Amino acid sequence: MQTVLLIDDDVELVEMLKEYIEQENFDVQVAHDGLAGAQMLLEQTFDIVVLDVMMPKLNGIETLKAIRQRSNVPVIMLTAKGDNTDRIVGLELGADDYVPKPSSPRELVARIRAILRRVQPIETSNVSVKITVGALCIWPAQRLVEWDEQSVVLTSTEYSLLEILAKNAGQIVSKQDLSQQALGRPLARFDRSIDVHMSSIRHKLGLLTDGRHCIQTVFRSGYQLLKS
Amino acid sequence: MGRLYWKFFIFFFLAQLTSVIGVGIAVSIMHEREEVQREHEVQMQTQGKAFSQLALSKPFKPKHKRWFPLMPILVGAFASFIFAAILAWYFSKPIKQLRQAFASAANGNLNVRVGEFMGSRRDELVDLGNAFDVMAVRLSALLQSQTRLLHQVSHELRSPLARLQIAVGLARQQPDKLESSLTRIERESIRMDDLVGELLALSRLESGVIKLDKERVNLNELLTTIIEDARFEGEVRKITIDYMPQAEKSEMLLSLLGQPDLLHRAIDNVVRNALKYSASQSRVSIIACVENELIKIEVNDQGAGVPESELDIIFQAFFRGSNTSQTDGHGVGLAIAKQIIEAHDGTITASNVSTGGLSVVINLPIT
Repeated sequence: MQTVLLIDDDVELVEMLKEYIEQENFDVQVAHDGLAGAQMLLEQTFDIVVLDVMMPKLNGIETLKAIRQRSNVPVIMLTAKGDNTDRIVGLELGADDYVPKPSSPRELVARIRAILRRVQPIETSNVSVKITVGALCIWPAQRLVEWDEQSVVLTSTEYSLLEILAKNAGQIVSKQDLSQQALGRPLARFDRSIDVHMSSIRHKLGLLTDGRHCIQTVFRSGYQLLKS
Repeated sequence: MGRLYWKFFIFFFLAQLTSVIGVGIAVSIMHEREEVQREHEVQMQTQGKAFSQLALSKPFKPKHKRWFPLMPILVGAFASFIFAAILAWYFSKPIKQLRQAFASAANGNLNVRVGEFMGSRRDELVDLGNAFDVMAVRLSALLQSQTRLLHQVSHELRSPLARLQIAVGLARQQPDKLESSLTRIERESIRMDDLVGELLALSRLESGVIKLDKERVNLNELLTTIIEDARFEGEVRKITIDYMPQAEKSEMLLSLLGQPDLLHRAIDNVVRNALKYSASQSRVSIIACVENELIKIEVNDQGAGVPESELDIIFQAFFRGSNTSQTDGHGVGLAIAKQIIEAHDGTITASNVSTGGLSVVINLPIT
């Protein structure tokens, strides 16, 4: 059974959410503040973390920073509806996705499933299959990425996006397709998640020999991974 | 240059010009008089020396041409022209600055300050500028606190909404447990209703719309009912409530003019707050007495207390102590209590007890 860590200060809400997610066949553990949550992550491994942004003591953003220093576990943030700064800061710090706070628990479970599904390594007999695009090397089976023979640490969403681009190297992939395949949901209007993820991938990968970024934004169309 | 400048300028210039011309005329009249007098003296002299040669050699011709100091008047007019221009500028400049400051404040920019442009001037115009600055600072603080409040209100309303959504989700997921989900939904909606009610009460109190409907209130009776309720509530968690009314002649002393339901609410909020942050099997003590002509009600708990730096702000709406994990309640209770007590000209303060716990003291004047 896959394990979920729920970090939220609202005791009653957590109780109900735990009950709901457990009914969907997950093993749920809870923490009521950021410090306790980060501590639990040190002691145990979880498949996914659901993290509330508004918390006393260590707030969600700080907790996320603390988590990202040590692990690449997928993180879904619960943000207040309409608060774009929290979302973007969260995504920049390496959150995989976000769910607005007053929303149906069905939505949250769907997002959890979408992320867990793509994080699971593909069962292939040939482990050494790799995609090479210029200086970039990807091993889909292990979800490993190398740039110039240097290993690159990506969050699971960043990896998924890069893999999609690499499989379609040289072609333009629309944001809609990227969102559908990597986040498992259609792109909402004014949704900047893909852009934020792309920008952090660019930061982690090196530059091409001519000084350009290997991932190019194609205005109004989408993104493209340059072949050379 | 604005209209005011030209008005000032014309008034000053005309005033000075009038005075210059007036002085000129006065001088000219005086001059004429002197002349007449001298003529008279000369006549007297000529009469005395009637046959003197002097009179013949220098025959006196009375001057009838009026002497007028044209040159000094022209110079004066020119000087007053310049002086009026400077004076008009001196008066109209700060007013112009004030007007610009008001205009930008009206456009929502409350960060404008006038005082620094006034330099070393000291007069009523500078006072006006300083008053504007004070007003701008106050307004912007008020606006900020209102924005903060709105932000917190939306957050506070969202928490029960989020729970409501999950309760609905649970009801859908497990139709067999519908009853418990419905209970939860009901509880959340009641909670939201309470919150909205408290917010309304707080905003009415803060805006000063509520007019106190004063009557004589017997605080002893009021305290007794509050404490009975609190004891009933505390029983579940085995919290003891000590109430020490002043022994002698208390019945007479603990009464004042006020609105009973508001006072009940204020004291009840403080007592409930103490209960909420008390561990089970602990003690809440309430002392009521008269001290320095003030009615003093002290509520002490044995909870965790509040960090010293937060003692002043616990009476602000939606403040929650950083050392607590309590999420029940809305954080409006103490804010309401403060507003009510202040409406009765009293004070409410909080301090930490050395043995642990928080002590809230209400002082009310005897009226």
